[in-house]
Amino acid sequence: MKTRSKLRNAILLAACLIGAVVPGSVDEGHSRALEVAGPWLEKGFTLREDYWRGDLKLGEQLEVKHQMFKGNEYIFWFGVAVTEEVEISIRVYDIKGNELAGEIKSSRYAGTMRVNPPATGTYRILLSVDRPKVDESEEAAEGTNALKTAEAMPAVEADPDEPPTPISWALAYGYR
Amino acid sequence: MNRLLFIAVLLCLMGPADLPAQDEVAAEVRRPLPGRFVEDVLIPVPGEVFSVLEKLGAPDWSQYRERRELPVVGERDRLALLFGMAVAEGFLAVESEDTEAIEAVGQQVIRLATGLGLRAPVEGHAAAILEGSRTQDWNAVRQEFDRAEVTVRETLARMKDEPLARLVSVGGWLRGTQATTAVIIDDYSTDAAELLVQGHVIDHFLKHLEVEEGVIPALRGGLLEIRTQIVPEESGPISLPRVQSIHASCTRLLDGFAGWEPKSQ
Repeated sequence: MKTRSKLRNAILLAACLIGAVVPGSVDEGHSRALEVAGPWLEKGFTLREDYWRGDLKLGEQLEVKHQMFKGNEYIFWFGVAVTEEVEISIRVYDIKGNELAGEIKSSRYAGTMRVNPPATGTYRILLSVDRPKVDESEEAAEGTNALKTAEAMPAVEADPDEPPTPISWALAYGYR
Repeated sequence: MNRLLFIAVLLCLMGPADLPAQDEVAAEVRRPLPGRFVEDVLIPVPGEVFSVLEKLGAPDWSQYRERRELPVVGERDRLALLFGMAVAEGFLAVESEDTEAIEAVGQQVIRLATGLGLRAPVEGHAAAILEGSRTQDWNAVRQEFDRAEVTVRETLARMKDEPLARLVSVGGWLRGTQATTAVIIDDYSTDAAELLVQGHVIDHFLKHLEVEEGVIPALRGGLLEIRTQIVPEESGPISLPRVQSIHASCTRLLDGFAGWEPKSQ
């Protein structure tokens, strides 16, 4: 049974990787999210087939509302279709605006946040993609959960004459 | 004059008295967060709730299964609701790890999808459900039921039939909630009852149930009934009588969609 499950996840991961190298594909953000989801599925998380998707601008903050159940552990995978160096941020708040503590990880194109909701109810997930901060010590002093990409990539150059290019994103989640 | 103006402003701020989710709205007003709202709402699958109930006390899931066959009816709104119910039944059958039950539900899923004109997109999922059941890969079966529902909803949405796609979600949620409340009633605890705090989900359903045709008015009425039983998150646990009331509302609605006579108590 475990072998079958591993095989299924390997196929899923392979499909994700294939999807990830197709530039400009509609669900590139989703491919990125699933890319980082693969190892977690091996750890017993069940992936939800449904996911959020759309476009956002650099520096824009998105807010997704979601129902979570106390007793489950949740993991969110926020994938973005970018080629430049960016900071990916994912944070979870309760309905009163209190930030939830959780484990945060980053990869080149995706942010991951794992949380144990303290109560059953609606939660608010804040997502953003921004230019990398120049002063790392300042970032640390702010104590934000912003994720810095692990690998060096060319920084995003702002051209005041050009409208910002929308970034394709997707947010998937799993539970266990 | 100033006093009248103050009352008028206050009434405007309060909004209509019958609007649901005042608790959550009020909480958001207190602590607003910046950000563009993403309109899409993902409805939790029954498996998410069942997973918590399993941790709370591993109920005998087989006793909560519905053994009556879901009919393939002519009205598409009812058919969409029934399809959602079948998928939720699948999650329940997986919890009971009952191969025969899963196969029976898999067949129902195919019949209902055929009724919706969506047999082809669902066939692959049904085959995977049967295969996963045969090899007892329960997580794969869960995932495949989820995929089958998403496939049907996305196909309906592509056919510009979003209202039907939403009804698939509503049917699944109602059947999942009916089973959840049945488990809670049999072994009440405040932790288990807290699983019903799903105001945001019901509000999302209600927001999109505006037409006055077919089963929609009855569905809206039933959901509003359920909404009133879900107390604000700060007002303490949902009591056993409220859980029973939610269960009764779900049962009445589901029996109506399936054209079943109420079960004798």
